[in-house]
Amino acid sequence: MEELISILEEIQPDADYETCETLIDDNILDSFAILSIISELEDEYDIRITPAEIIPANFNSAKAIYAMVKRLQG
Amino acid sequence: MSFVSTAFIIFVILCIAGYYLIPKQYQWCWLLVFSYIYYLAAGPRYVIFLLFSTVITYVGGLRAEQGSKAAVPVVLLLDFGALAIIKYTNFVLGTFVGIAGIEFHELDILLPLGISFYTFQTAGYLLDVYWKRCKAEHNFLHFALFVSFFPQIMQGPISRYGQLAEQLCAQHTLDIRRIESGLYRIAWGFFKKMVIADNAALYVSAIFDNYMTLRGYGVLGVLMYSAQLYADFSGGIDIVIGIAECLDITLAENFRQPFFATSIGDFWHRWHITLGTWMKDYVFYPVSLSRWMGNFGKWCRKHFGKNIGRAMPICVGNIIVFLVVGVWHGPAWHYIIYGLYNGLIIGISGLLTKNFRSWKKALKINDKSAGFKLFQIVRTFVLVNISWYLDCAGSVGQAFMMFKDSILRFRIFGDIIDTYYTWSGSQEVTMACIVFGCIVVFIHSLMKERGVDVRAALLDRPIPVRCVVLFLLLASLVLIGNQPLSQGGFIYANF
Amino acid sequence: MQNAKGKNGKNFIPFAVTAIFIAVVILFNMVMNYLLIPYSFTRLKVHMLETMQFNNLILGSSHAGTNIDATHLAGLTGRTTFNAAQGEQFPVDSYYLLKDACIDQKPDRVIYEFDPTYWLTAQEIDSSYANMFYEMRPSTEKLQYFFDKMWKVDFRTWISPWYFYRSQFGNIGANLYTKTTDNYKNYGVATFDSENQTVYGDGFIGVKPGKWEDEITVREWNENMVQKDDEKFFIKMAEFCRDEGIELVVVSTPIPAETYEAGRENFDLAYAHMTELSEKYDFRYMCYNTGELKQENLMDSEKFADWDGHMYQDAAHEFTGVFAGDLEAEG
Repeated sequence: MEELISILEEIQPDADYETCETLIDDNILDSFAILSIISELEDEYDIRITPAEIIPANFNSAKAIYAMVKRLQG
Repeated sequence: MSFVSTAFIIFVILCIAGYYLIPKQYQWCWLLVFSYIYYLAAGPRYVIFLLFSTVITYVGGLRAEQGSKAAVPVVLLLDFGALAIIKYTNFVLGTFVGIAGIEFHELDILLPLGISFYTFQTAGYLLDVYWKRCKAEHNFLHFALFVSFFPQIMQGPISRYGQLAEQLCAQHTLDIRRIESGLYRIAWGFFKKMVIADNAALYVSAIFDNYMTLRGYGVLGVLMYSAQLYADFSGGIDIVIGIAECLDITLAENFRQPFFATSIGDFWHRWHITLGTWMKDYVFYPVSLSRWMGNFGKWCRKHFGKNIGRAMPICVGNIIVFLVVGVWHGPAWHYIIYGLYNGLIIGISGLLTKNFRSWKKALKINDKSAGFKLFQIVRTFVLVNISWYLDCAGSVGQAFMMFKDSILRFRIFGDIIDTYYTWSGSQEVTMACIVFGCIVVFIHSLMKERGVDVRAALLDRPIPVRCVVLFLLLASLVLIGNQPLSQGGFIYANF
Repeated sequence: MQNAKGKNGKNFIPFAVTAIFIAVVILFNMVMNYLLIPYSFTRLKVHMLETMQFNNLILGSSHAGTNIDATHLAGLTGRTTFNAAQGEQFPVDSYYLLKDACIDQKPDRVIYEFDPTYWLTAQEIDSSYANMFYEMRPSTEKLQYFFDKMWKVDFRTWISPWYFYRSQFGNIGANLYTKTTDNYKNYGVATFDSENQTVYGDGFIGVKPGKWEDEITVREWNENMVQKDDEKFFIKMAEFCRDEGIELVVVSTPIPAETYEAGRENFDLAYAHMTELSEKYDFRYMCYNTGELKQENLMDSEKFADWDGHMYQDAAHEFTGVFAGDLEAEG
């Protein structure tokens, strides 16, 4: 989880990833940031994220992103 | 049926009245009937295309839900194929024939109303089913209503099945406050259209149609186009959303004070929002996450390092998306370059994100300050207005010529418009109406940007105040509103 | 029992407010119409159409209005004649004016003037678009007129026709004064007399000597460019006349020879088109610019105030004499 948060902070600093649950809804992560994050997650965790996964439920918080990563890792 | 016609007003009144009088379980049927009446009124022969798109995506959705992998590409090919043939045959043939030096006579191909909008909407549904974002619709008539829902079919917003379908088929109770709210929205839309857009249109058509004689007025032309296009399109959307609101259906917003945008990227989050989100979800992400793009990203990382390697595929994806946006606007090279212009700015900005951050830090620029935000807004406004040269001109050559003249032969005063088409016979009065309308819209936008829900605030005022506001809005249409240059009505209704 | 301040009272308020609001809007428009819409030629003509008795009814554009002397025609044909033709009267207007006239009477003959320019041009949405409708008396015919013409255009056109005159706030005083005079109340013609014209009680406009400023303009006649509504309503008029036993005569009044020569090919195509229609719908078509009825002296430009084809009063008198003779010869 810390690893994930450091990835997020490197791509899009100035957001509170510990508590924020509206990263998509409040447009804190725009599409550029999302794709950058996906690229890093795929490299870091050896997973494949398809467009079907890009929904607010999976990206609105660091926790949600982590849960998606764990699910895709199997 | 033009939105400004009495026929449409009577049509909407009958629709809303009947909607709340009939048993609630049949309200969706009522909407379906009215939607097809609306479409048939435009020309019975157009309905074939609407039905075609409805049937193939309905069937495609069912097959996709059952696991068919072939369903999606086949249906998308048919759906977009129809759009491509109808909209782009003349452009493609004309380009190739032009290269061969042969004179080309355009084929007479009828353009079904709203085809750009409902094709995107049905394609979005199909992909949502395929990606399991929503279940397939098993009731053909329910699906037909989703595709044909009349307020939005001509110029959007482009709706998502998951957001709209349930509302369309739900049972709705009459709520007077909601009807009143919808009415204000509709009146506001007409205000923008008639007071700003129809007056500004005179400047736009004079300057862009006579660019060889009225040289140097390009800056005024694009500023007027900003006013016209925003007022016309967002005004039309206000009318659409207002009608839907009267029917207790919430459509997605399509505009969010776009001229307060701080970057071109931000602008496209505020302008024609549903097109932007459609492109993002169905073009940008799939293209950027595709295998070939992934391989391209790896190649970039190998040759340019991690940061550029990560950003480059996104940059290219963006350019592709805006090429599609450009093509969507119309079958002409100037639209394609318009799209490329936007895509390149956003793409390159994305590539330089980290650089911008470090430059701002080095120059000690506080990017949260009001001054910097104002700079960003003005900069974006200028960049957007430059793009209008490409959007509004009839050709790339004209766009470049007008832009060059704007700098070398800059003019802003003079006899520009044909006052025959003004209600007042005066250019000065026409300009005053535009300025007045823009000031009112600016104040409204500023309030909204600050989080004030203007309509909700109005609805809480006493009845006399509300009546006066509505009366003033309606009175302004007849006192200072102009007539549209073409009785066809709205710009985006031709897409 | 619910009292007025209870639930029933609350439900009643929105409908009461809506009704009052609509009433205020209607009142506002009525007041603005009265203040801004001047005493128009159309008001006069429509009133005459609805109140006079006539056997010959002339419909069509301003060419017919100036070129056919109704009283002279009446004298020569032995049939009372009213000239309802005026500028900006398109076939849909002619059709509904005829139907309006036929509420109280049935003329023996309708003389419709065919000006090809009208059939090639979409009617502009201006004050003349709405004024024939506005001045017509309430009737089912007017309701049909509404659905055939008014309801597909901008709603302001018929709800607030004063909006075409809103730049003329300065004329409110003059309008109010005019509307208090007997001339206005009694539909007097004197208001419309000017240095260019005299208006007669039979609808005829006598053009006084003095050239009008205009140029020869030629419109290309192309079957694809004929306005569908124009032909549609002309045919409806022809069929109405047939069904009601009214004789329909279509006439193209003389135009200056120079104008005809400048657009000969297009005029001939237009006249041929009307000839085809006359054979198909069995009515007489009398064209004075080509064929058997053409007379060079009637096309002398000295007889016209402009290149468009508006004759001076004397010339109109002369033409009417010829026209009456040809009418009765074939009739």
